[in-house]
Amino acid sequence: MTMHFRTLQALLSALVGGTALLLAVVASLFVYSAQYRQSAKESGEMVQSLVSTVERSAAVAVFAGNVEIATDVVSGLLSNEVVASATLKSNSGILAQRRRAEARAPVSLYRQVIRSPFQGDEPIGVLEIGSNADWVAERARRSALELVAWSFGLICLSALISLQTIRHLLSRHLTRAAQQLDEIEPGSSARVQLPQSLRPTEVGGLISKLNQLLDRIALNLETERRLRAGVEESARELQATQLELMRSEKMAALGSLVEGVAHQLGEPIGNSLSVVGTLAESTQAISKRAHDEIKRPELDAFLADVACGTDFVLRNVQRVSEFLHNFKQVAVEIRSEKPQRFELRNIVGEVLAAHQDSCESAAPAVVGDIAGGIELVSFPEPLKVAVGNLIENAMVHGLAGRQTGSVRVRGWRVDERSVRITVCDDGCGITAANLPRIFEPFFTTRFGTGGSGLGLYVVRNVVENVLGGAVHAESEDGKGTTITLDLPVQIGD
Amino acid sequence: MRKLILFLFALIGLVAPLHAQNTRLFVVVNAKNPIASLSEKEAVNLFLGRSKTFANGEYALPLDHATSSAVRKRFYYDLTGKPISEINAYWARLFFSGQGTPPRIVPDNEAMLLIIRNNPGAIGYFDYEPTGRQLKVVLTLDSR
Ligand SMILES: Nc1ncnc2c1ncn2[C@@H]1O[C@H](COP(=O)(O)OP(=O)(O)O)[C@@H](O)[C@H]1O
Ligand SMILES: [Mg+2]
Repeated sequence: MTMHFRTLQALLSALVGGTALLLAVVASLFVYSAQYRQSAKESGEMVQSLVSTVERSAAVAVFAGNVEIATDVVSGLLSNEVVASATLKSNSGILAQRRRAEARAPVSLYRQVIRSPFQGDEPIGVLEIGSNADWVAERARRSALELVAWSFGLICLSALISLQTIRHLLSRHLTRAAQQLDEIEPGSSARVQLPQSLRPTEVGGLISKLNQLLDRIALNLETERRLRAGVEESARELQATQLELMRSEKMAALGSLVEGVAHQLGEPIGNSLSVVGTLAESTQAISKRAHDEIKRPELDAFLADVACGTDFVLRNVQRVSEFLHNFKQVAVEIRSEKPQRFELRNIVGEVLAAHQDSCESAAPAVVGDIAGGIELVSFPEPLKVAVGNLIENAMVHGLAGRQTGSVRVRGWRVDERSVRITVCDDGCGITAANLPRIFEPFFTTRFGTGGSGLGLYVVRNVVENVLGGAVHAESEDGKGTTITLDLPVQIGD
Repeated sequence: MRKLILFLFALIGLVAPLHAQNTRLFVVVNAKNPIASLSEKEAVNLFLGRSKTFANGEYALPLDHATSSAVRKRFYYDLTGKPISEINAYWARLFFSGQGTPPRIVPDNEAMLLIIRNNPGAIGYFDYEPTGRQLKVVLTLDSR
């Protein structure tokens, strides 16, 4: 059984009270037995002294065979509470006998031989006195009770005094300290009050330890606050730097974009312009002659010029249009349409089929190796663009001008939530110097021969911004290239 | 000189019986009393009222001298070893209980002798040895 005490004082009261009670009970038992023995002994002494007072009368009574005196003696004896029974016998028989009516069996029987008062020591009778057991017990009980009452009272009194002292010294101060502690805001300069008188006591020690703890807490809080302020400051600075960086990066990107676009468009448009200018001049010249007669060789030459010029212009304009098509893909973004559920193998299969259609049969084969049953909820068209670009790069850059070699498109499920697609060729590879730059817009090693440098930039854009995945390239110069796409199974996951 | 020594002897012979008379006490009964002698214990019992009769069953009549007499004092002292005051107290106690009668007091030796002569159960005491046909000494007490 466990009891719960709300206050130290209650606990102490219960403890002290219980101890006092226990002590009193034990003491009472002890005192009772001691007193009983003492009382029995005293009763013996009392009987002894009674005997010596009545001895003479008893001797006279026995000597003279006087019943009256004998009766007197025994009734006199019985008037003492300590005596339960008294018998005076002469040698010839009982002279007088009295017994207390309510008495129990006597504790002990005292026998006093009565000797003749006149004839030396000759025994002439016996006085038998039984001491009163009830009286002995009662006396023991009374004095034990009295002693116990006194000791219990004293214990209680001292307990009360010590409790009061404890309350005064301990509980009151502890309660007040707790109250003050409650009101103190951590980190504030307020401290628990410590009365001068308590300073050397345990309570004083406790309170000063508490105050030390509060000091430390305040110190820690202050340090933490400063640290946080510092962190916030540097974070703000970092953000500002970042913004600055971004702005300059954007400017750089814009610059390179403008430069790249100008570069890409400048050449074909410039070429076309000069060709068209030449054609316009030729046309003007021939139309002037049209009023006169036009000679057949002149007309033939003009027509040949026009055919050649238009063909040239057409190719250049085609290049521009192609570039613009690629360039449009750069701006590809999440469209308003919803993600679709599709089978990865089917989508990659479509890309491979489209590729197969567009190139000669002699070109190295592109092998698809996609695990079945991989269902994605994503955007299939941007995925096709990305994979298509990677295959094209493998053919155009990796396996350029080679008859042998292969391109392998693999796809498998990595875990519940993601798939991995790799496009791997065993072609020329990428030099270590170029590898970090291949995803930059307009970075190409085939400038002037059809490379726009936007292919991998578009791939990265699509994978990161539309499909929510990541792309990275591994390559060893001369041994081939592997581009890896990691995509979530479910868009937005 | 011889005369002087004889005189001295005669003086001693004259004084000695006188002296002997003073140191011994004699308990005396009527000559008709069948008992030949009395023990000290029997004497105590008779004179202090413990026994009312002699050993043969004859009723006893103990006699005492005057309360304040020297012979009484001597008698009880020699008999019991107790001072006379104790004897008196004893009798007083018995007297108040209404039981027990102390020995009958006679005024002098002559009266005591008279009663003993005329009464076969009577018993008395003297500080000399009384003579006479009707008398019989049954106990001689040496002084303590
Ligand atoms: N599979 C590949 N093997 C070797 N080089 C490659 C491969 N893919 C890309 N590259 C290199 O990366 C550059 C950038 O590619 P890309 O952005 O597609 O531009 P482009 O194809 O127009 O040159 C290419 O010029 C080429 O040098
Ligand atoms: Mg490309």
